Parts: sequence; C-alpha cells; structure tokens
Amino acid sequence: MKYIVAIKSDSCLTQLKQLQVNDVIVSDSYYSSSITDNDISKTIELIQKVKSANLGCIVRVDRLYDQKEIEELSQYLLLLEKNKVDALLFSDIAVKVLVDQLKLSVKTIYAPETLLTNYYDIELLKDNGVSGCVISKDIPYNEMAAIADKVKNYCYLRVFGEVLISYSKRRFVSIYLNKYQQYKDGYYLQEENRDIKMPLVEKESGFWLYGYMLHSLDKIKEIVASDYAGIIFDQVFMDDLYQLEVVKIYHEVIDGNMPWQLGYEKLLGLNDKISYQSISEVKQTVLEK
Amino acid sequence: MAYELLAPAGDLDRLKVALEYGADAVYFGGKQFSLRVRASNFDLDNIKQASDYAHQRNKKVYVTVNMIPHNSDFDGLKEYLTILNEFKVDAIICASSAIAKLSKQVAPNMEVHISTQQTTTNLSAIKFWQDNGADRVVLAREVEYDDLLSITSHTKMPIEVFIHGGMCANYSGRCVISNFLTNRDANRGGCAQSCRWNYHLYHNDELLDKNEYPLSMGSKDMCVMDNFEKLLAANVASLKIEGRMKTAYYIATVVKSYRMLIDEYQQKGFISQQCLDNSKSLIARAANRATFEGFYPGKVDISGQIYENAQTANQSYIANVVDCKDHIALIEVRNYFKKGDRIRLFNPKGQDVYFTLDKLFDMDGNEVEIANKPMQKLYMHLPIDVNQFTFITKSEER
Repeated sequence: MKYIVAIKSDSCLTQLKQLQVNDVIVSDSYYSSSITDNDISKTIELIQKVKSANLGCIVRVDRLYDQKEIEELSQYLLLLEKNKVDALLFSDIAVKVLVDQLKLSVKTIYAPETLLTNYYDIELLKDNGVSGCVISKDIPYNEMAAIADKVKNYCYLRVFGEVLISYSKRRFVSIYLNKYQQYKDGYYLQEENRDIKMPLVEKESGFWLYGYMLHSLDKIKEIVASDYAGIIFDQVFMDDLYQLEVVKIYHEVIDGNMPWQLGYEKLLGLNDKISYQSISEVKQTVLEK
Repeated sequence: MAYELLAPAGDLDRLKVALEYGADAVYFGGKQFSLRVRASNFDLDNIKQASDYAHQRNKKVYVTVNMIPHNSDFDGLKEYLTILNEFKVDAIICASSAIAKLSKQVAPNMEVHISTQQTTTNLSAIKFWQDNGADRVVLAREVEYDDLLSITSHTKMPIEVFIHGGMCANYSGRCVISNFLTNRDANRGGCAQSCRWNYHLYHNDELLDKNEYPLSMGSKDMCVMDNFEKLLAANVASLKIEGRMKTAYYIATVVKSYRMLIDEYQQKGFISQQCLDNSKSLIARAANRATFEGFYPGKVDISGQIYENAQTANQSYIANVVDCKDHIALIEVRNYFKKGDRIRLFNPKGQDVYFTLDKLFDMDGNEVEIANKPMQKLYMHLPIDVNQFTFITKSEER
C-alpha cells in the first residue's frame, strides 16, 4: 500500500521520505483546484525536486475543462510526461481519454470526489484502463471498505483532508462582493441557521466549498490492513509543516506506538480552529425527510 | 434537421399535457433509481401507460435512472431495466457507466443517454461515453455557446442541451451541500436545494455580508429564447426543458412557447421578431423565477444570481377542464376568480380565446359568484367547446 501526501512546496520532502511516504501530489495554480502560487515553470521545478528526492510524483489535474481548454491541457500533459511524472490525479474523464490519445505512459488516478460511490462503476473504470480510483469521501466507511474489498489493490482512500462539498464554475464571492480576485485563506461561508464554517477557495476557474476536516485515526490500522492501493493525506488550507505533523501522528498510530485517541489529542493540538470529523462518523444519507 | 423538444413530466397527466402542447419526447422518473424524489414519479403501471400513450402519438419516452448509485442501489436494477425494455421505453437517462453497461446487456432495445450529472463539458469526455456504449450525451449546463459549436461540429454523438428551467448553482453531480447540511443525498434524489439558502460570508472573524442581502449561491432559471436561433443552428439533437416538479400549466406554456419557435425555424429557416415576441409573451405567463441565458454567452456574472429566494407564485392559472359539452365545462379550481372576470382559454393548438365569465354553477346547479376553494369542482359557461387539455387562466389583455 502506498502512502501519498499532497504538498505545496519542497520544504518537507526529506522528512516525508523518512516517514516512508511513497508519492507526493503536486499542483499548479491553473489546471488544478488547489491554492498555490506555482505557475507551470515552478510546478516543473517542484516535480524535479520530488524526483530528485526519490519520491514518486503525482500531479493534480483535477478541474473540469471547457472544450476551448483541451488543446492547452494536452500540451500540459505532454510536458508532464516529458518530466517523468508518475501519475495524474484527475476529475474530468477527458484527462484519461487525452492520455490514451497522446499515448502517454503516465498513470491515471480518477478522483471526481462525489461520483465514485460504488464498486460497479469502479470496476468498469478499471476495465477502461484507468490506473486507480479515489473513493468518494462523503459515503459511509463500511461502503468504502466494501468497495476496496471488491476491487482489491485498485482504490485509493483519502484518510485525511477536507471534504469537498461543491464545485462550481460560478465565482460566487467575486460576484457577491463585486470584486473579482482570488479568495482563499480564511474565507468561509456559514449557513444562517447553522454554526458550521465551510472554508472556500475561489479563483478564475471556479469555486470550491469544503466541509469538515476528515480524519481516520480511529480506523487507520484497519485501513492499512485492507486492500487499498494507497492512502492519501490531502488537505487544502494548511501548510506543509502542518501536513508533516499529521503524517507523523498517523505513523505513530499505524506503527502501534501511540493509541489513536492520543493521536487524536495531538491532532487537536496542532490547530484548535479546525473542525474534525472521523471517517467512521460519515452517515448514511437519507433520500427524504 | 429534426429538433427534438424534450419536456419533463412529474406524473401521467403532465406527460399528456407536454405531448399535447408540442413536446416530441418526455422524460420522467420511476419510483426508484431517479433523482427528484419529491416529484410524484411513475410506478410501473404508469410507465407502461406513458410509453403506450406516447408511442400511439409517434412520440418518445425516456426514463431517468440518474442517481449516483451506492453499492446497494444496484439491488433490483437489472429487473427494473428489463421491465422498462419490455415496456418499450425509448431510452434511460443515467449517470453511471455501470448502469449504462447493465442496461445495454439486459435492455438492448433501449438507448442510453448520459445524464448531465456526469458534467460532460468537452469532446474528450464525450469520446469516453461513446466508447462505453452511450447513444446520447446530455451536456453540462456550464457549456458555453462557442464550445457547444466546437463539440457538435466534431462528433457524431447526438448531443442534448438544456434550454429552459432551473439550474444547479454548482456543477450537477459535483455538489453534496445538501448531504453535508441536511443529510439528504443530492445525488440520489434528496437535494434540499441548500444552494438557495442564505449564507454569511466571513474572512477570518470579519463578517463581509452586504447590508442589502446575504450571500446565496442560488441561480436564476435558464431561458434561451433570445439566442434560440443560434442553438438551433448548432445541430443539437435534443432541446431539453427542466422541471419535473413544475405544474401542468407551466409545462404547457413553456413547451408551446418553444414549439412555436422551432416550427417557424423549420418552416422558414429563421425566427421572426413577431414569433419571438409572441413566444416571449406566452412564456412570461409561466413566470417562476427570474431568468437569464445560462452559460451560453460565457461565464456567469451577477445577472445569473438570485439573492432573495423569491419565486413568483403564478395566480393567473385558475382552473383546468375535466369535461366539456355544449359550452358547459366541468372545471377544477386552482386559484381565486369571480364572475365578471376576463378569462383566457389556453389551448394546445390555435389561438387563445378570451371572454367575460358570466355563468358559474356549483355541482347542485346553484349559481356561484366567487371560486376560492382549490380543487373545488364547478360548472363554467364557455363561448366554445374545449378539450381536457385546455387551461383556464385570467386574461392579461391590456
């Protein structure tokens, strides 16, 4: 099972390697949903540093793309191939089709967030040559486990990170404030009758709204003993040092050096403003109340 | 080029209305496997009736099987698809490649149309669906007009686009706000339309709300009338109206409005200003939410947003016709009206008829001055005989 961590910079590559992380996820500012200052040249520099650190490199190409963007996207994919990227984390099935058409050797990991909720669809993606799939974060834990059990060594599970709850082409905040710019650190929405804070990202290409920070400390030993292809640490808003501390805590719990409850206490100590929810607490939704 | 006008139906009555008013095909959900659980939806007997009714009129029916399924949602699906095939349903609309494949295996006569829930926005994604047996792709509502032209001119895959009705604020299928805030599953038919609620906007601890109104993600409805000719020129296979929850009167009005435009375009090769004005005037009677042109002209700005979740309650539709003989119609009341009101008869075909209401009776034959009880049955004197698909509305003559 691979351990995969999303990074924003090269600041922690050595430490991540020491923690037996296999791959890191790198993002650019245009083709991904991420908040980053990395333009394409900086992204390529980061990819090269990752490769030099003997880590596998996955690049996030996870927007939905308009037809007019496809040609440019193809050029970007060719550039990634040239730089020996190992895999693409994508959300628009077009990326897989382009990889085939361009005859690229890069692997493809499909992560459409809300759409991969059953093993039948995932098996079919496997038949279509998709290299791996990230199971939706918003389904109950037992359903995730059933999928991984059915499609062995193929599925990835996000074991830590915010739950993406919506993705739009509209720039809601820019429109509302009549001020078109990026909105990222510290911006959030709160429904008028609820006290849940939902952090957001908004940039030229769209709007992403997030819910709780999902953790899996109470289930992580069970998860690593299961048939997932990999587990992913992928949070949006905090820096790489925070991410590194999270991976360390998980490492201690997985290795049996720390009970998960103590790990959770340490997690709470990293930042007291974050609302966490365990992967085991995601409820079965109802169709109507 | 034949253009399919595709209308929604929440139940069998609305399906008949849609077809009578000019739809070429109708889509609806069964009791299972569909979104819009709050629509009445069709049981198996209704689906059979709907299919027979449409086919007798040379029209088509599509059944939505468009939930994003969980493992357990596949229980009973094979049997359901087999029955739809036996009922000669023309196509299913689905959002899952596994459902598409299963349907092709057990229901070979039914087409598979890929739902907008899959947010298909480009030719490469269309190719994926082509390779996986799809017969048609419903594009995401976020596709802009120039991209639509590129798409339709470079694929043989029949393309369906939305032309009118409600819009998701987010990419359809990529939104689970409803799940998160209410535990109701947006992708399995339980959407609480949480995007239309009010939200406070913060930057750290600073409240950024405007005084006039809070932030909402809610979208205006789509109405493409002003650029409809451009859409017709884009060679799309099907023009889709949203609204399985909408009333029969709304469906009739919207369908007839677009039917008029399509018919004129097919006859003359263009849409005249007079025809456009007539259609716009007609569709205004079905006003629901404020409208805009969607993403066709480009990225959405403030003109596509609604900050106060106000829907216009349409009070002009006052009754429907149950039966009519010798100018006396048995009607079912929907909204308040009274003797002496100017009344309009809205028909599937032909011009509207206007008159002043002079005679109204209850079921015992007693004269009635005011109709103010919804679903009450009354007799109304009409200037002509009409059929059961006629809607009685207040006149908006000036």
